[in-house]
Amino acid sequence: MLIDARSLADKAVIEADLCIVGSGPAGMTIAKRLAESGIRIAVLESGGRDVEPEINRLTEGELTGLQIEALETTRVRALGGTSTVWNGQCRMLDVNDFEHRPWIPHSGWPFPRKELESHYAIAHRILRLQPVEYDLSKWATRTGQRFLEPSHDIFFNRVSLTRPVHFWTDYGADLEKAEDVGIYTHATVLGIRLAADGQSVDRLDVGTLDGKRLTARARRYVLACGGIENARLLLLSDDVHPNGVGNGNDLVGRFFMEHPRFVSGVLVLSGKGLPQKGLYGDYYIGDGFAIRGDLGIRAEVQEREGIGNVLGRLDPANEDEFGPGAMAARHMLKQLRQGRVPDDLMANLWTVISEADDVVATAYRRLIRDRDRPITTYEVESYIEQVPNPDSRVTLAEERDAFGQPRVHVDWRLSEIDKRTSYRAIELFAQAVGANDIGRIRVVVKPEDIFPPTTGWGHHHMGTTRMNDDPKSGVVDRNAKVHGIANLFVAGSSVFPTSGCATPTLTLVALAARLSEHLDKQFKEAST
Amino acid sequence: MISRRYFLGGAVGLGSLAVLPAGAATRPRDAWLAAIGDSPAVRSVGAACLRCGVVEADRQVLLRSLMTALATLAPQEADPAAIRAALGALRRSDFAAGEVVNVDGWILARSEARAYAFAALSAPLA
Repeated sequence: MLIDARSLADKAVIEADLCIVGSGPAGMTIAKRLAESGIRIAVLESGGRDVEPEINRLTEGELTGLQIEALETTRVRALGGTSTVWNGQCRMLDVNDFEHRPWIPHSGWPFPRKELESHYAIAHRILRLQPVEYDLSKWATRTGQRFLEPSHDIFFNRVSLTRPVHFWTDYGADLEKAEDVGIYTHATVLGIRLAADGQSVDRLDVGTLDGKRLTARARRYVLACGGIENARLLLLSDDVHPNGVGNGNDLVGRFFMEHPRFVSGVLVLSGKGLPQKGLYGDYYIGDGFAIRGDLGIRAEVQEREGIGNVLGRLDPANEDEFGPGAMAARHMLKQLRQGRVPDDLMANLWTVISEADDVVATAYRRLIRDRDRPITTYEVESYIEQVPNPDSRVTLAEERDAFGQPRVHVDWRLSEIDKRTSYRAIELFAQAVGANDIGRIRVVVKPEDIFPPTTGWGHHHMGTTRMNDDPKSGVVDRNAKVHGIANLFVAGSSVFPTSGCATPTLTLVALAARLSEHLDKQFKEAST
Repeated sequence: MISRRYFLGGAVGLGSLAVLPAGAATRPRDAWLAAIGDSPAVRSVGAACLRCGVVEADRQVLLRSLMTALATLAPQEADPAAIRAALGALRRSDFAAGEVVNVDGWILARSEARAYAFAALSAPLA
């Protein structure tokens, strides 16, 4: 049943067995998995069917440190959550992403990847990613395409699977029909109210923008409102524990991670080149399903080099695009698109003017690109694992939102190991392509310039309620239960202890499937 | 800075080396130069390697370094094709071992940088 919370009476009480905050991929997965289990479920969604500017402004916040995209443009308060705007690209985290890596502080999940394999299988089905094939050579055989085959053991080919499932469009109708599921739109959770002993959740305070105040009561609660909002909600709820719920060890909001990305090099192939519509781009297999090949650096090389995980993304390019003029023009355009005044403006302008032939040639070739011409030059974009950093964090800001609640403040910070990963990664890719006679790489970043103001991001917000069995090292335990709170769970990428270099949705859906099994078991045990 | 066009068109070490001159060279120096590629592009890259200071600026030292590294090659080997094959294997092995240099941003195997520098310091083939 779909209910607009604005239609309820003021001070109405929503009652359920399980209350899920948020209807994005994590929340919807749990609701879908438990819809037929006999558990009464209430899903509280701050937005409606479509994005409503007034509601989405609740996601605005302050940014300091390295910039990420404005929070209101990268997060969505609407049915389906961020799945309304994503591109659908998915890949599992690597086996070593789950392991404790001694050279990476705070690394290690409470369980190995194999414990998540069956849930990854469920997640692939939910995300309609079929066939599940991560071996690029198999896709090469199937499609008749060539790929860069390593003969030395520095790099390997990664595969991402893409189908942009919209969780509300694809699954909403079934949930609307489900007898035991109530989906409340325009219901913004304003706070988590604990029982007097501070060890369990008593209720949630809910508000609508037209001024109603509601209460949601359940036996168990799941926060599934995103990598930033999950932390904000815990921090906002400070009436019993002054530091917020689950924050006895000052961990909520810390370890905020993104996926820094930037162009780090140019790959020039030695052979005849690869087709433009090749495997190192979105290669459409059919029915909206695509695959994409990228480069990875082997786990043993990461260990030897003392770096984090990394992905090298190849984008077809023209040789002219990497002349000083074209690079300066791109640098300025990127900053302008980010709403900033380009740094070194006069120097860059002069470079563009003095290298005008390159700039014009680049623009011209982009316009008239011959679609049949093989690609011999690729831009290499490094997309790196940000290692856990307690100083990279989400806190509450002074400014208030339309409900009078403190907005969020995000201070994204990277560390020395991230810089080392970024620079060594392109050098290692250069070694790999040379050792394999694939071609040569020109590095276009300098160690001192790593993470320039134009550093990009993946719109992936992770780590702010990290998972660890020790309450001194994590906000939630291996079952995603908040330490010290008996009936409060967290779903989504905020529980990731490390981020790997994979897009997070597949893993967070797998974790949500795992959590739904745990909750189902708990409810069944409680009823016997 | 190495011209991209030189780097791309010069065929330096990219598996499409310039066509070898017909017949074996008569002197070891000529054989090495023929194997490396006696072209303006090769010399340009070699000059960049020298300018960046990543290799020795002495033709004899460079040749000795290369010959020492190619232990399986006969000292008087005069077949450019044999030398080229040996240099290719050395180049791949350098890359795999991380024996690389940075020349204007291009990551090159140390041995290939030496080879280009040797060419840059040598008089053109007759």
